[in-house]
Amino acid sequence: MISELKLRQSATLVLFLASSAGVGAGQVSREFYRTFAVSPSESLSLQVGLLDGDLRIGYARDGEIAVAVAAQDPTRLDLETLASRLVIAQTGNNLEIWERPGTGSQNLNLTYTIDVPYRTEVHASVRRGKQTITGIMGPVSAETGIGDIEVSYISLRVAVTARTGNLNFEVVGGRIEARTGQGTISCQRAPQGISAETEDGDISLMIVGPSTATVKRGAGRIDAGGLRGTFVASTDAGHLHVKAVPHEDWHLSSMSGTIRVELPPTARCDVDAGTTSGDVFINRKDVERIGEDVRHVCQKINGGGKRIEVRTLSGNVIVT
Amino acid sequence: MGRLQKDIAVTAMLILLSGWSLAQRDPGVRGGIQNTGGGLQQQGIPIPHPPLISPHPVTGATVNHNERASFLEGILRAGQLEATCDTCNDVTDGSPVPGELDPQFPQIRTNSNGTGARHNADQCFVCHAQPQLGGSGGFIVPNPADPVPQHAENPQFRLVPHRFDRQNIVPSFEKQYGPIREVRFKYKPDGTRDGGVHQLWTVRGSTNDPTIPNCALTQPDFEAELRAGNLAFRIPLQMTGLGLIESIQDREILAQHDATAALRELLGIGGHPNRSGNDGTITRFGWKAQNKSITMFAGEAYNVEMGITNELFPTATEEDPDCNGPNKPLPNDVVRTDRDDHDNKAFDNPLHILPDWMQFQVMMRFTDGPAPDPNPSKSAQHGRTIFADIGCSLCHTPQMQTAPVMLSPVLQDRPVNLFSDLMVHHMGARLADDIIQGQAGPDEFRTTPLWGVGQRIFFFHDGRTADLLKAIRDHFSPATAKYPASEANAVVHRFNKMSPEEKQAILDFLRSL
Repeated sequence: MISELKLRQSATLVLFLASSAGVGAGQVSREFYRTFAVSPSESLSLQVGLLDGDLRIGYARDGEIAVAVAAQDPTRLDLETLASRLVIAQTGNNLEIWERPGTGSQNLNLTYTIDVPYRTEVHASVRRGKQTITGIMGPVSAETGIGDIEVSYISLRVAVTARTGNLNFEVVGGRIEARTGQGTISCQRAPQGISAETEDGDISLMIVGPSTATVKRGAGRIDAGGLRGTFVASTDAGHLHVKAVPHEDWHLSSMSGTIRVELPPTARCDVDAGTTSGDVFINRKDVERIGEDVRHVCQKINGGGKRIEVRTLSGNVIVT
Repeated sequence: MGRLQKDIAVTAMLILLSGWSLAQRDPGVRGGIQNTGGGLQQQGIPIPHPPLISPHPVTGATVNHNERASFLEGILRAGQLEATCDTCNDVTDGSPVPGELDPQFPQIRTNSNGTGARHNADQCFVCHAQPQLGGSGGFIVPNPADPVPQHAENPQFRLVPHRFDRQNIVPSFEKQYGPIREVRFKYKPDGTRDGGVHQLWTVRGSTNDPTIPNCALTQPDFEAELRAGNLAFRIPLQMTGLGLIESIQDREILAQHDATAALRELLGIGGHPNRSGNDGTITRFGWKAQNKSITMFAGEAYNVEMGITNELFPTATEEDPDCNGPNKPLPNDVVRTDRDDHDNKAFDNPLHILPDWMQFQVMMRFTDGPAPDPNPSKSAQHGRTIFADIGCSLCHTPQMQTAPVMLSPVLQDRPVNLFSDLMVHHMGARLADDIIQGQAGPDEFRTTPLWGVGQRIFFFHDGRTADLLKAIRDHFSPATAKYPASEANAVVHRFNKMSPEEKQAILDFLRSL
């Protein structure tokens, strides 16, 4: 969160909502809309700190930032009240937008939309509300108390934290750090991989680089497909399902969930699968199971390759 | 030297200098070529991304979430570097490509098997990077990751022909700091019309693809064709604002044309639409307005320029099995409907997402038109008036309106400042390329939309000049035995009669677009 002291110290242009009006000639609107010119030759640093409301940050064009605030019910949007609590401060290519503490906008259902240049770095914090950040270079850091966070089409690293909320990632070029207290985590197409951790919820990963996925408690399950690198996954009582080519080593574990590994017929790997009180099944016609131990299998498939280590206490292991 | 002689010399010098000061000249790429496209890249600054279409000027409507996501996905796909097969790129599928256009830009290959045996390029943005990605042809840095800083240059000079050590001979018409050119052959060896694109490069010698070791394709003998006068050049057009142009109804195009009929007749300007042979509606994209839609353009360019077959253009332009690899499906960029396909994409790429060529058209649809200079000079503002007064705007129609109802509200019923009538006109022998496309004859060209001309480097279909003044003057062409006179002759004559200040004003105006 941006400190008030920092804002006071900066020689900035401070704009209050009351100074704005209307989105276009001939229109009657209580929606706030304001643009700011920024240098296209430098990156933009955007810091946002909101108490309540949905926040959307997305690429639109270079050289300009556009900030819009809208209420689901415009007749209830009290610009003057908002003016006392929202501050927008610009210093060159640094823009800060924040709500003063103690002035939350409950019941207004505000949506803040900020269009930014591609080369933008974002630090965003929302106490209660959904965040959507898309189409920028990054890096991106975002945190929320209660609310979902969606991050997509980011070139650099992303760090996201929610106390309660679902986290969704799509097409991120840099490494992702994702933590949520309660909620699901889904991620598609992240070549540098993700470190995903939820206290309680599901995790779904598709086409990711080296990754870890952790469900700390409860019945949350993990699904992974199209893995590109190492993969470390653990659940509590939830199931774990991986369908991919083992390009690198995998370590899969669950306390009581069933772990299912789907491999293409041509996949080469070393499978080391064990369960304390369940069963291990190798459901492949092309693989002859070695040994009699129903609770442990350790053998090469198609001549061997990357290591797939699977452990569960009371669940089953199924390799297909 | 005597006093008189000195005076004469000084006077002559002053006259000469005053003449220079009065002489009009093209102010060049607005903002400077160093601050656009590859000029930025050679300073370590990524080439800017194409702008998202601006909110509707009246209703304030914007793209919805899905449209924005598709726009971004389209940028991503257009930035991907194509190899010749899924497993022979030099980076892991889904990884950033080091040293490419934007080293920070995640280039993720999806479901395409890649570059064709013959191609002009292996990445959309190689040819569309001026002044930003999705723009017209410009310069790019061959390898931004090289420790020795490199100047931006024509990517057809070193980068594309020799990527992955391919053994291509660079034709003499591809200059290091010249326009990106592709070629069409005017006639076949038997004397009948050809008119088709003949790709510059082959994949022969690719060191990254072990599946085509016996590829022995050779390039056409471009030098011989050049000497024979059988080549017609084309340079890349900008992709920005095409969704807006596509949203203009035929009735609007015809109404605008009819509105200027009397004035055009006075100046000998005709013009007619090129029309689709399929449904008879006006075609409007490409140098001769030969393409019906941006979807058509996307699918066609993917196959013709990059050799990547798709649902719209499913047949390879070069079918030599030695150069296409044993596992290359045809077409290779498609809507995936399979669940567990034979080559294990279900395990490596489980996402059934739209093919590249479809994403390209979405990106183009929601890319904004080129933005003019927000603070044009007084000269430029004056030039806008003169531009209309002398008749330039009779063809370069400043504005049209999109259809009243479009599927996407952001596109509907809004002005498009394209500066084109989208008609084709006879331009005479000087510009004629002797290529027929649809109803556009050998010397006919679409009125090139002038929005964005302020930041283009090269002009005309063949990129013959980087000087806007020469470009204006080359609109003039007398009648010959083979071709009629240029329809622009009377307007160019008016231009030539103007004062140097007025000519300068027009040049300043054009560079403000």
